[in-house]
Amino acid sequence: MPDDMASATETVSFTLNGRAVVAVKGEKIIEAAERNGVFIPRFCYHPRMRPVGVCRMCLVEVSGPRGATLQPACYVDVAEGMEVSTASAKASKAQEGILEFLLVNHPLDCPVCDKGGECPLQDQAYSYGPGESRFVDEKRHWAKPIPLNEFVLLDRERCIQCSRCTRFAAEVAGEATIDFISRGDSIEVGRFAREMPSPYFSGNIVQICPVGALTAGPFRFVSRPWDAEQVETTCTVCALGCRMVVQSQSGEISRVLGVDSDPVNHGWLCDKGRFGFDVIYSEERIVEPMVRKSGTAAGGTDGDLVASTWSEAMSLTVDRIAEAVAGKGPEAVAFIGGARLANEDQYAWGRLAREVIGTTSVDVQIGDGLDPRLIFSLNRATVDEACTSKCLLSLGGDVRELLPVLFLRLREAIVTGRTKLVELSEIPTSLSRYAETAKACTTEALSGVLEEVAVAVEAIVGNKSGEGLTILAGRSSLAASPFYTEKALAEAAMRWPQAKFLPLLPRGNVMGALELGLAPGLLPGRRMDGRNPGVAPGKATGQILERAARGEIAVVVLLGSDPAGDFPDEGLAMKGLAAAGFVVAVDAFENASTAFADVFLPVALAEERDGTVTNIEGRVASTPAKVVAPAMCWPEWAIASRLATELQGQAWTAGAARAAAPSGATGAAGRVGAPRGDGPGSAGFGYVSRTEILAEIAAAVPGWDELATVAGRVRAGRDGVVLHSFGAAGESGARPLDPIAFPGIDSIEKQGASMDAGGAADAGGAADAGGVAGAAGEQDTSTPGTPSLPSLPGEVLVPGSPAAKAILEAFVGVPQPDTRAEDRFPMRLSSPRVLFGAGQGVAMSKHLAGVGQEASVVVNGEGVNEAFGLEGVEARVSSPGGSVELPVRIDPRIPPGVAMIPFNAGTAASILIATGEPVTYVSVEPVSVDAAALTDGMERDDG
Amino acid sequence: MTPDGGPPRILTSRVDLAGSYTLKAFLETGGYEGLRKALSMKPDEVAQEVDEASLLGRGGAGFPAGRKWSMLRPADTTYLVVNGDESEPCTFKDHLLLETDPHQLVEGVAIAAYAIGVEQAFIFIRGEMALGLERVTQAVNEAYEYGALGRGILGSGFNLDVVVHPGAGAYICGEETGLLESLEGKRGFPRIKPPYFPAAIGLYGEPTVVNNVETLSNMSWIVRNGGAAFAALGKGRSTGTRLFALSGRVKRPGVYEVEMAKTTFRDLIYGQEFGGGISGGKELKAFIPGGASAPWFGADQVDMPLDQDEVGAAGTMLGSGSVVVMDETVCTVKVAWRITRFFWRESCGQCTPCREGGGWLEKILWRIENGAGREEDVDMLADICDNISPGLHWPPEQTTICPLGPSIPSPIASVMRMFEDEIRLHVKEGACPLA
Ligand SMILES: Cc1cc2nc3c(=O)[nH]c(=O)nc-3n(C[C@H](O)[C@H](O)[C@H](O)COP(=O)(O)O)c2cc1C
Ligand code: SF4
Ligand code: SF4
Ligand code: SF4
Ligand code: FES
Repeated sequence: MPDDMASATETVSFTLNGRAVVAVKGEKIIEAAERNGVFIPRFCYHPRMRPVGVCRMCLVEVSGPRGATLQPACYVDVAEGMEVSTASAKASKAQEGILEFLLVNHPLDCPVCDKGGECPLQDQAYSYGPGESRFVDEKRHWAKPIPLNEFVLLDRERCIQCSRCTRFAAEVAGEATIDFISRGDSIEVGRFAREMPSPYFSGNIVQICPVGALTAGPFRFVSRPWDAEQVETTCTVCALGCRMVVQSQSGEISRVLGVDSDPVNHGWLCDKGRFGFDVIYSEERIVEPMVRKSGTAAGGTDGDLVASTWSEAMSLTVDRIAEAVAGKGPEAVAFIGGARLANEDQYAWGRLAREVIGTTSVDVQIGDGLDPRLIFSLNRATVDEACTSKCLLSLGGDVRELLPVLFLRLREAIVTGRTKLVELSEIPTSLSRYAETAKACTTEALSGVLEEVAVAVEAIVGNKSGEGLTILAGRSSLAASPFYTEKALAEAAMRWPQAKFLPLLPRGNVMGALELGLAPGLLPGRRMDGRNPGVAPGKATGQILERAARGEIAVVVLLGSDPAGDFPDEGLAMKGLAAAGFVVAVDAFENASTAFADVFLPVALAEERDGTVTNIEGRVASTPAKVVAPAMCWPEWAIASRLATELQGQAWTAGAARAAAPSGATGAAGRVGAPRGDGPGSAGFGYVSRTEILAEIAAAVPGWDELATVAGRVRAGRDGVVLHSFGAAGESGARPLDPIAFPGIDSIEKQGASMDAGGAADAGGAADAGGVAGAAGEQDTSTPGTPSLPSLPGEVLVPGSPAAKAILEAFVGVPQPDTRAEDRFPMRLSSPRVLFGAGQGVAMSKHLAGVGQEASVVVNGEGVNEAFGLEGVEARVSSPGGSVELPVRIDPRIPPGVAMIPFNAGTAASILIATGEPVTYVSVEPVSVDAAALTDGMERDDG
Repeated sequence: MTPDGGPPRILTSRVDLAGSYTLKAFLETGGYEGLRKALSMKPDEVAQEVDEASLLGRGGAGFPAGRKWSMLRPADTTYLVVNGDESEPCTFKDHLLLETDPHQLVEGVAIAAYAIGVEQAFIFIRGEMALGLERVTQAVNEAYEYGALGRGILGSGFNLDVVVHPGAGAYICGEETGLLESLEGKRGFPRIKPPYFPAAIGLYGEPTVVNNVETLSNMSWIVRNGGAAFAALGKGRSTGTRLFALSGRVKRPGVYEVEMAKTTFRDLIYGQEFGGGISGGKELKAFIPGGASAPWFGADQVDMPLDQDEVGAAGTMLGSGSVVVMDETVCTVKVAWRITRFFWRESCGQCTPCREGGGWLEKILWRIENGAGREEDVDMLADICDNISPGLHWPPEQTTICPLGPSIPSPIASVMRMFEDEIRLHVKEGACPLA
């Protein structure tokens, strides 16, 4: 119900326990009462689901035509003149009666129940119950507990049949995989033999269960609520940024719970975000600096990474960077990744790269994203705006796999009829079944098909300007060049100037990185960097790897990234890393790429570090630390700061060189890097706290100035702040916390959200602005579909500005590379990112063990079927770039002629994809007898 | 059966006929004449006759059929649903109609559908009534062939499709909104009223009339003879004849069609043409006047007429038309236990007081009946009942979603009211005194 009574058009007056109060028309008694300070006990009612009125806990006395009767307050709308008594003798007796009934068959095994201490049944039995049960007979018995899926266990004896879980499954998640069976007091939450609740959202039913009937394997018997300390923070597993509470006991994280953030997650979390926190406790975690010992030759072949000290690792790194710059110039140092970092870390690393070292070879995206110049030229939608727009047009990307809780938000908007979905996707997504129109459409055909659906879209929104239209900007497949999607997005933006866009970029804090300096060609604050116009933002990782392969890169710094395992073209990544002179891994785990690392710098992970993050809407929210990182694991900003300080001692550094020079690239919009001192050489590193960096961002980065005034609110604010300059609405109001809705969360006052790691000492020193104005635009020829962009140095990309228009035009103007299947490779590879891939977030989590997706090739049964006979048979999938063997799965929803391999379930797809090709074509053949000689599973085809 | 010269047999005229359920027998005995006549009238006129007949619903609530029809929310799609789920213990009158005169029902459905402008009807029949299901299905098929269902019924411009749907074995699917859920393919969880009154939001969310089998079996007669002729039978609002399923300790249990209000419970129980008196020459102790959920009458109420309003004023109901007779040897605690057990097992389990209260009450009654009752159990029984149905009056108030809830306390409250001594004696003696 609207908090803002003033904005509500119609109100009704009623009497609540003798007091005259006002409700919004259509408001339920339970809600109106709560707003007026009267709490009515409840179990089945949940503010994020439709009322069902089944538990009868909320019975209150309501005057009506037939006198005062008992009515369920969660179900009955307030009516004009209604008299409601929530605590009359009759109401109280009914409430006591209900609680006594609920305890009749309840085992009361609170001492061994995870819910004990935070249990709405316990709590309300104390507050509203009879105090003692008169039941002396035998209770109903069930075997306990039974598993519902990988995470959730059901104890049917404790169940009070409130139907929150079954309703969540059907109404919120859209998969009715649990439902009641049997009747009377033999009723039980039942599961299907073959279809378990999927591990996407199942943790939510544990959280909203008002008793201990549903427990989560990872939390069973781990901790007592009264022993838990908690902090409210933001999930950084994907870029939606769900608000959540992290709880710990004795300094160790015990549990993660969803917090009801109205603009973002409505209290829900996905299972990856909820259960995956244990990666930080992985035995595989690297907790001390390492250097590769026998010599400096890279390639990962000679010598092992062995434990070292920060000073050794640092000085080695500083020396190599210095050598590289001295020998080959600053562009010989490259930075890949950084989405896992917090805003402040990203800003610090960005400054290190651009200002201290002077390179423009930085890219947070690993070939799986979209050009940030384009993203920043599009009107951004908030999630709420997307959910209230008349039409959603998806240009690809399965939102459930990319940004899971966004799927819940969008699905709700669609099924409740608020919005209609038009979807263009290579293969069906989890939203396809809700779509008004769902068209199978290859990425390279997007721009043409967009023409075709334009009429339908305009009919839904009822105009031609795109007002009421939100376009979901994601990538259907990483086996097709992003160019096609980018072109289609630019065309859509030109066609519908009023349309808004929501980028479906999944990686944790990728938006913060793009905003704050880890995007090539862009300075913090979306300012065009005039230098080195040859780099193609969003594709720079590919260029870096190519240059590395050619021996042009001396130092590659991997900021929590794994190109060898994660870049769409595995071959290129391996070649590049192998040929790079020196590889620095700033990470927490070893991976395919760290095999090439010469230095490994261990870092603090999400729950161990303070900071702020930026989500796909541009919402900046805080991520206070809950636990302490292992002693030798540093927060990333501190590593950048230390490196910068040491590098600044070196005469060649860009900071030192340019300190006295005029800041060429800075336009009217301001300067990058606050003047922090007056003298040359004082380039202003040596940060001592995150707060200090945040303040600098607020002061120095155009568009983020507002953060200075809202910084406090970012810290304390539950929902974070969408900065105005991003074209979206501001902060939303605080919400009352319903302890019954999402049990387990302590009152918010108790959270100790502190952002500061230490004092805010000013280290002094001035970082001067970023670089020199570039020459005119230049076409990057190495990457297909890279438009010839005006370099627009210093221009800030604000949607609607001339600069943004120029960017859109440039993307529209580039001719589409032709693609055609060869006879040898007749099928088109489609390779979407999946939630549970083989990455660290899943692989290093014991909790998530077992949900990781197995690599397979999925084809439509048609035609291919007889060649294989049966599903599960091994197939050889080959492309011009490589060849792999995978089990075949048949799925009739995959369009004929398409072979689908989940991108991140292993490296099968990236072995096949060559990023130099706009589209990857493959052949899929059964592994024949002669081919069986090649038994190695995955073999590189060097031809 | 009614004696010669008595009131007409409106519902059971064919039950003794060989092959009464066949189209042939039906047509030979005036079958589908009512429908023909109805189709020659305006729909409103047909509805008017039914309204005039003051036909009270025979499913349990006794709501006037004509009024119910008039409350149907106008909409493009509306439905008629026939409630043939009859599953209450000792209620078996629809059973007879379904097996012996299915065409009479089909004709009634067609007339009702015509009167209210419905083109799609469903007949929901209790799954266990296999023969009834078979016969109704057969009748529907024959009616299609004959032209009494389908496109352009009997040469008129009226279309009606009828689907026969078997229940899956749940008493609660007789409750009209539970039935609609079941018909929609969901669990038979009753809906909350308001807002889910079928006439407003019914099957698939569309306005729906739900009528009982017997209610609709009256249609042909009413149309052929006029609503006034029907209303001339009986007294006040209780018009026409009605089927009563008589069971328990009577000599001749069975289904009897009697004129309403003119007949008394004494006639029904003792009349030679009906029950023929208490079996074994025993004394009447108590009787249930209207099905398992109805509060009981003692022997002193036996002269009460079978009049809905009079019975209602006395704090109980004619309900589903089943009369259960208990003689002096019957243990009322055991009867209450047996009925409670039924409701406990048939509770849909959706709402707390009914789901949990039913089982609890059953356990206590079982203990008392079997000698393990405690002093405090007696008052506790009353209080638990009160928590399901506050005030323990009839018509009841309820803390539950549907009327099954307050049905549970009904027999228990009756025993408390009339035979409290008997319960206390169970407790005191630690055994059933009547065993
Ligand atoms: C628990 C319960 C069970 C019921 N079972 C039946 C039934 O089996 N048959 C029936 O006609 N009505 C049954 N009813 C009554 C129906 O809800 C509804 O009132 C009736 O079908 C309406 O038809 P009528 O107006 O023709 O009487 C039941 C009601 C309740 C509360
Ligand atoms: S398992 Fe929990 S959420 Fe589900 S019905 Fe039972 S009590 Fe409610
Ligand atoms: S949807 Fe994204 S932000 Fe939300 S819980 Fe899952 S991973 Fe975290
Ligand atoms: S009263 Fe009983 S049968 Fe009716 S809805 Fe509640 S639990 Fe189900
Ligand atoms: S019935 Fe209202 S909260 Fe359950």
